[in-house]
Amino acid sequence: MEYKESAAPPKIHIFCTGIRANLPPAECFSEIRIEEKIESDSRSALGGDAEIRLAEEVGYGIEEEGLSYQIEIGSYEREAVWDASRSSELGVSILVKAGEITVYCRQLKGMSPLFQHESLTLVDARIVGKNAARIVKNKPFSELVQRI
Amino acid sequence: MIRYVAGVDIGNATTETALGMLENGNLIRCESGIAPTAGVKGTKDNILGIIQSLKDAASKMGIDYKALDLIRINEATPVIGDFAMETITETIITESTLIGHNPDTPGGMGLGTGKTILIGDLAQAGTDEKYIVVVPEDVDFLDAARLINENAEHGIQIEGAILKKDDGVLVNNRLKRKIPIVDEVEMIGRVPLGMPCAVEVAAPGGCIDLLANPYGIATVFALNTKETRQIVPIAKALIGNRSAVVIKTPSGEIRERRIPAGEILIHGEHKTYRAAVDRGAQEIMAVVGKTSEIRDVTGTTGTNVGGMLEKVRLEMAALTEQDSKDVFIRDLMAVDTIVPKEVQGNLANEFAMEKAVGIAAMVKTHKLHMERLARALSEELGLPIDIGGVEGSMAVRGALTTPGTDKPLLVLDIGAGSTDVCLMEEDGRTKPIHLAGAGNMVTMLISAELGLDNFRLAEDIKKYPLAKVESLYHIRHEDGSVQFFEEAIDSKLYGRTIIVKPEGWKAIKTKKSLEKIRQVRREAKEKVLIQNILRALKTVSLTGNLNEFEHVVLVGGSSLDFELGNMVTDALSYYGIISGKANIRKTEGPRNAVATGLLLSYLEENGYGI
Repeated sequence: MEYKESAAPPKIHIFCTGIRANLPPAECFSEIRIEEKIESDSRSALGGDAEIRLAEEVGYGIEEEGLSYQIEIGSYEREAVWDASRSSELGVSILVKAGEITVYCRQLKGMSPLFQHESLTLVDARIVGKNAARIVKNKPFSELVQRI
Repeated sequence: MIRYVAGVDIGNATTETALGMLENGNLIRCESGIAPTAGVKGTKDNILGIIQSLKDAASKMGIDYKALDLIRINEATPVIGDFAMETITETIITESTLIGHNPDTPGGMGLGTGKTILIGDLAQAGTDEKYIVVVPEDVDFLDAARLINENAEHGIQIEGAILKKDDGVLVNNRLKRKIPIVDEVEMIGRVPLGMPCAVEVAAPGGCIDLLANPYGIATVFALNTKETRQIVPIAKALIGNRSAVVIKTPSGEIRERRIPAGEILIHGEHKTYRAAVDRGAQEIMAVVGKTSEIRDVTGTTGTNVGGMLEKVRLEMAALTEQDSKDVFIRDLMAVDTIVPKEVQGNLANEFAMEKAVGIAAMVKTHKLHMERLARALSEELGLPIDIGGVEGSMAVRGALTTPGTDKPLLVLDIGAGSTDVCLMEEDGRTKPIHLAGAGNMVTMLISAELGLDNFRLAEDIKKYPLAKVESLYHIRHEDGSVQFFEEAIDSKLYGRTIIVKPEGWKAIKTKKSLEKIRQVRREAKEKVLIQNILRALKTVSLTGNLNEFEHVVLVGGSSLDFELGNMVTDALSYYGIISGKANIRKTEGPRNAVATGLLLSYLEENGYGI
């Protein structure tokens, strides 16, 4: 039996609670689709461009490790993102909310996240993305460079 | 009347006691004690460890250690070993011309050749030439991809890229025409510009093909025979990599230099033999083998080997309070090895595998000052102290308490610095010999071959089995078995190779696979310990035929090694020899052999029944 390499590899979902204000749409790897599904009345409760930039960097980290990702922009709660990690193909999902990056992975029992970081630099956000991909690849995690 | 007699063995690492309860001319009970040795073997500092060890045994017997009637200590073998590593080849690049490293995630695939050019200078590039772009740190991957795409549209032929940052895949994903990209090049500023260059990236799971082959490099750069000979070290340094860059600079020169490593002079009974260290271990060992009895060994002054041999001599002289002129090296062991050494003039911390020779030496002097120690101990405890027989013979006596053994018997004690062997013939005569090369040399080889530069980590690798953390809840041991855990494993250990120590796990931070580490560990034991055992057997054998031996028993702390016992059994079963770890007094395992032998020798001499 011959196996064909997957043309559309499974994706890691990044849930970003933020809205695009002045930031131009990211120059994402062509396969990435950004869904902006935000209820108009909840806009005020959301973050802004900063969250989106973080989410993009997390995505770049995943991409550099050779995996695909999809950024979902909208209003998300922890439970929903945790649920997503359970039901996703790769077993990993990421929440970017209020300047905080949380990585959930199906391997872990309970609701505790694998990584949870506050106020990260963009460089470190990319490393978090890499580490999220490395769960799938079973590779050792990289350490963050600058913690604030 | 009940009497208590103790045999005490002061070893390099532990002090062991065998305490016997004697009644009506018979040994009715025996207990063991163990404590770390205090100070250097044979000095008064040892008393502390001796008392600890006696206390340990006495408490098991339910008596006070001061109630003892006699203590017998061993005539310690005055043997000390030392080791050194001598690199005999070295790769030097006088002008940076090679980048061969394994970034985790290079971009693209295939081979690209062209002139090196800074990404910012692409505007000045012509359309008639091929280029390899060099991307420094300050250029974002989005800009890099955009610039490459734009310039390619204008007809500039871009065939490959060299990146400072770990952006290879990100850039590659955004290119309209895919090119091989090598990233994480540390010293990007040192990449010469305007020079012919080749970039090769292999498919996942593959190795570069052209640049790891001297003729491949010759084809790419149209080299002549003489130039091809020069680039052999480059090709050699790139073998096994997934990606590589080679740049041809006009004055660039790469040499594999053979370092003058000096000579070893082996002084035999009648003749002095010479062995050049840079000819490798085999030649040295051939010379050692043909010297019937080694009287002394010296090395060329001013070389590493000369210095090392002198160091051993001085240490032993200081220990025994003798003049260094009276200390002689009586055995030498050399082992060939390959060590990773940083290439001089490298761009991304490249390593080249260099040839090296590991050397261990063993020194024997007159007696250590055991009488002095005995006197001091006697004063301290107010008990009679007696000095028993030679360590080797005592070990044999102790080893004979292992069920299933019989004379003739050969006892192997692999220590840290030397391998001690003692043969007991059928008639009870014993023949001890001491060889250079033991546990510490194994540790040194592991450390050097894995490029660890960390003796303690190498020591742990030697002693304990490995495992890989495969998920947050399970590890796979090196034998393939899987173990699951209740609690999540520390994420710092995730995906890593770990050493399974009884007191906890230890991560090995290296890109080398578990299989590679295991192979290095087993080969080091094979090269030093198994070879030494065979050498020892050949030395004590009368006929040179190893089939004449029947029992080979391992004693001492290092036979507690988790795999050595099996390795020895395996190697010796080829010669029809029964071999394995001792089980002293049916209960003690390989420990306590000498202490037990001391006690037994006292009983025999004084007509007690056992």
